[in-house]
Formats: sequence, C-alpha cells, structure tokens
Amino acid sequence: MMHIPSEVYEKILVRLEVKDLLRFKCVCRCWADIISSSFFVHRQLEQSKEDPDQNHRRIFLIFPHVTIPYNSCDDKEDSKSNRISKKIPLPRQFSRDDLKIMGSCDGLICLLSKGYYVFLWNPSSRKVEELSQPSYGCANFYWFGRDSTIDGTNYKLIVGVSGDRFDDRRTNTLYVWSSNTNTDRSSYRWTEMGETVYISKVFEDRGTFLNGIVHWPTYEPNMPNRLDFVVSYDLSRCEIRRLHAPAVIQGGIVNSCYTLGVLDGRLCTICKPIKKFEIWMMKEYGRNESWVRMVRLKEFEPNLKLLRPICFLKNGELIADVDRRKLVRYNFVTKTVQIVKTHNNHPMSDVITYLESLISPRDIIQRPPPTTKSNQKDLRQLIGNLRTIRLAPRNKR
Amino acid sequence: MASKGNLTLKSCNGKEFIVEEKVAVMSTTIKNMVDVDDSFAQGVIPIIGVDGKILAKLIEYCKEHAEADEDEEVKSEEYLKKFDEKFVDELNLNDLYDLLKASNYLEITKLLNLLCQKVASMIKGKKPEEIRRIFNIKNDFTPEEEEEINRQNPWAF
Repeated sequence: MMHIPSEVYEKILVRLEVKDLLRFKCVCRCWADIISSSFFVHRQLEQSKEDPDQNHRRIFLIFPHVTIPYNSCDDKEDSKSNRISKKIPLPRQFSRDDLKIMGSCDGLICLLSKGYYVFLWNPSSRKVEELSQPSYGCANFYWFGRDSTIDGTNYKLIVGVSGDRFDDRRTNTLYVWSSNTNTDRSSYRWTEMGETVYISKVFEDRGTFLNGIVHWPTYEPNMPNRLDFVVSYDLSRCEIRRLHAPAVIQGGIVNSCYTLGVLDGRLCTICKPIKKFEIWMMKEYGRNESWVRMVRLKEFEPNLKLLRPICFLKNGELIADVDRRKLVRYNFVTKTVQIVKTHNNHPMSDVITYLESLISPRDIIQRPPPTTKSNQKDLRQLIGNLRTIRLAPRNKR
Repeated sequence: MASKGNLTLKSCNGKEFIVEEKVAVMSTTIKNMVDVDDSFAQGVIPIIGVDGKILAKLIEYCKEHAEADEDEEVKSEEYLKKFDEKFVDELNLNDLYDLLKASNYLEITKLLNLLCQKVASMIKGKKPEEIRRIFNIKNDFTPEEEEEINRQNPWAF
C-alpha cells in the first residue's frame, strides 16, 4: 500500500483551513507533529499570504462578530444575504460592547477591550492572550504589526496614551511593546518613548505602516485655518515627525484627509471634497509638495462621509467600508457599487482584514507554559490535602 | 537510442519512453542528472520506483507544459488551466497517490503543487477517521491522547 513521504503531506496540509488543521492533529502522530511544528506554522502563513486565489484571506466585522472570506464577497447569487458571513465567537474575556481593533498582522488581531485591556487574538484558532497595559489613561491611537525593518519575527504594538486628566487628550505619551525584548520571559515589555505627542484629533486611531514608519491622520480643529497632518513614528529611529496632508481646497473649505493607506509602496490618503472621493498619493516620501491626486471617485450615494478602503479582491474590485455602516464592493470598470454586508447599528462598528494562520498569541507573548494537566492534578491533590489537615490557604503554597 | 535533443526514460517495469529533452527536464531531478553526467543524455535514464503507466502520465503532463512554456500563443493560460483540471479529475485514487510520490521524487514542482491542491480540496472538511481511511493511516494515538487533542479544540470537530 502507498506510503506518502511526510514532506508531501506537509505540502498538502499547508493548503487547508486552520479549522481542518486543528482537527487533523488527531489523525496520527506524524500529522500532529507536522501541524504543530513551528516550521509548518510559518510555511502555512507564507502560503496564506502568497496564495493568488486569496483562499486564506478573511474580513472581520466586529459588530456583528462575523467573518467573511474574500472569495465569497463577489458571490453573485445574492450578496445581501447573511450566507457569506459566519458568526465568530468572541473570547469570553472580551467586552461585548466596548471593543476596538488596534491592528492585524499574520493572522493575529490586536484588540482593546473597555478602553484598557489589550488582547492578542487569533480568530482562526480561537486562541487569545492578554497583554499587560502600558499605563492608565486613554489609548488614543495605536498600531500593531511586524517591524519588517529588523527581522521577521519582531511584533510591535504602539500606543499613544493621553494623561490621567480627562480634559487633556492633546498630550500623548507613546509606548512601544515589542515581542523581541529579551530581558526576561515576562510579558511586561513596554518602553515609554520620551517624546510627547500633541494631537488634538485623530481621524483614524489605527496607524498605517510604510518603510518602518507608522502614520496616523490627524487634525487641529482649533487652529485658525484648521490644518490636517499626518503624524508619523519612525520605529528604528524612535522619532516622531509630522507630514502635511494634501491640501484639498474647495469653496474656501479645507477638506480633510480621512484615511491613510499604502498603494504601490507609497503613502496614500482618501480626501473628501463635497460629493466626491479623491485618492491622493505621496510620490516622494516625506516631501509635502509631492502629493498628487490619483483618482476621483463619484460619491455613489448622497451624504457619505467616510470611505475606507479595506482590500482588493482578485478580480480587481475594491472592498470599502462606508461610514462604518456597511461594506461595499466597488468595480472600477463599471463604476458600480454593491453592498456586501451591513454592520450592526453600533457606534464602534469596525472592520479589518486578516489571514488564516496558526500563529499562537502565546508564542508571541512568550509566557511560560501553563501548568500542565498532571501538574494541575498534583496541585489539586495537594490543596485537598492541605484543606483536610487545615493548614495554610492555597496561595501560601 | 534517442536522437539528439531527445532522452530515453525507463520505468521500473522496463518500459522505455523517448521524450524531448525540454519535456524531460521539467523534472529537476532529471535535469540535475543530465547536467552533471553527460552519459545520461546519451544513454537510458532509469526512473526508479515509477512504473510505465505513471511515467506515461507524467510525460503527458510535462509535454503540455513544456510546449506552453516555449510558446504562449499556442497554449494559452486558459488552455493549460483546463488541461490541468481535466488531468487531475480523470485520476483514480491510486494513480493520484502514485503521481504524488513520483512528482515529489522527480521534483516536478508544478505538477506536485497541482496534485497537492487536488488532495487538499478532497480532504477539506472531512473527519479524522475518513482521512485515515483515504490515506490508509493507522491511528497510533492511545484513546486518552486522542481525547486530549479533541479537548484542545472541540469546536473544530
């Protein structure tokens, strides 16, 4: 009978969904070993990233808690139905109504619960870990991702926290959490960056990463000619800078840069003059004069305020979030818009893309392994013994 | 004896196939043999562990793809996609496994990827016991160990 070498099994398994992989761990020892190895975990991640068919790419909607595969977005049958989205159970530690997405990278989504608790969550494997908080205060803007300028495994979380005083949200202290700080195996790895960042308002609290620098679109409503800036933080130089947003002036009103993104390796923004959307690109990074308008889109329904590009499908269509109310799919050729999914009517409605991966939040945080089953049993037994002979309470053990 | 530009491949059950060199070197393993030792290019290349039926299949696949690589106009991407689909759909299980092993051994990357994708979509969503049956794998876990794995991700079952 056939004997298939394990490297061939590996090539087959790497194409499967995470749910299948977790189930197939109990096929036999050989499969369990393949699926659990860190080599395989990274191979699977690479495969998910590179797959031209986008089979492992998903969109996560936080309210309602659902996930949508890219490939079912263009389900011609009836795109309005709920068939394309699947409910995804949130970990019990998460707040059910106060939950913000801080970032997404390699299959991990970083979330802020109740404005204070930080979690790393892998929605595909349903594993979650809590991170310690950098400080008390209000997390105003943040970014989670991988610092590609150093090496492949350095995950970072950057949080801008404003002071204890409730009325002062302008003065922000920047904290950086890094997965690579080899001081000890504790989870407390926040570094306070010395510089203070003054920001009145952030258009988008989630940063955009380009060339080792994270960017947030902001504005100063109290200045005479309300000004838009992009505040940036350079990861390797630990330096805060300000770039100008493109000046889109129409009828004497300065229009805002609403959202940032990276297209073609360049920083882009969507501006919103009346009845239009414009995509601007910074041709030469860091040079304010090099902002150029690339595309002008018609406002496809009246009174839209915010258009956020989410992703491109393999057929070239754009998935965008409109006013945090619904996901639409935009076809550049026919210039038509179709609704993919409407959000719940929730003020914190948000959406992010992620990859199916086996990356474990625990490995990133590198907590010491939990007490194993047998240890727990010993502990229970010990506690039982202690109770019967009326000795010290369990925490004195 | 193969003429210039052709190679002779010999299956494990003695069947000989004369193929164009560009077709044969779709296999990295054969390419390396020919590159390193010139005598292979003149003589017969034994393909160990691959029988005539499977070797014929491999050659059929490589021929289509080698020709397409040479001239995109004759065989479009769409044509190749259709060919690939038909090629894997017509295989029975045993041939599929034999081809998997052979394309792995001969390092025919394109074909190996195609076959792995086919097997992946075949086993997607299946139960572990169905997988064991499909691949004839013995369950080497104790019932306790199996239960422990099930308990780690009960929702995946």
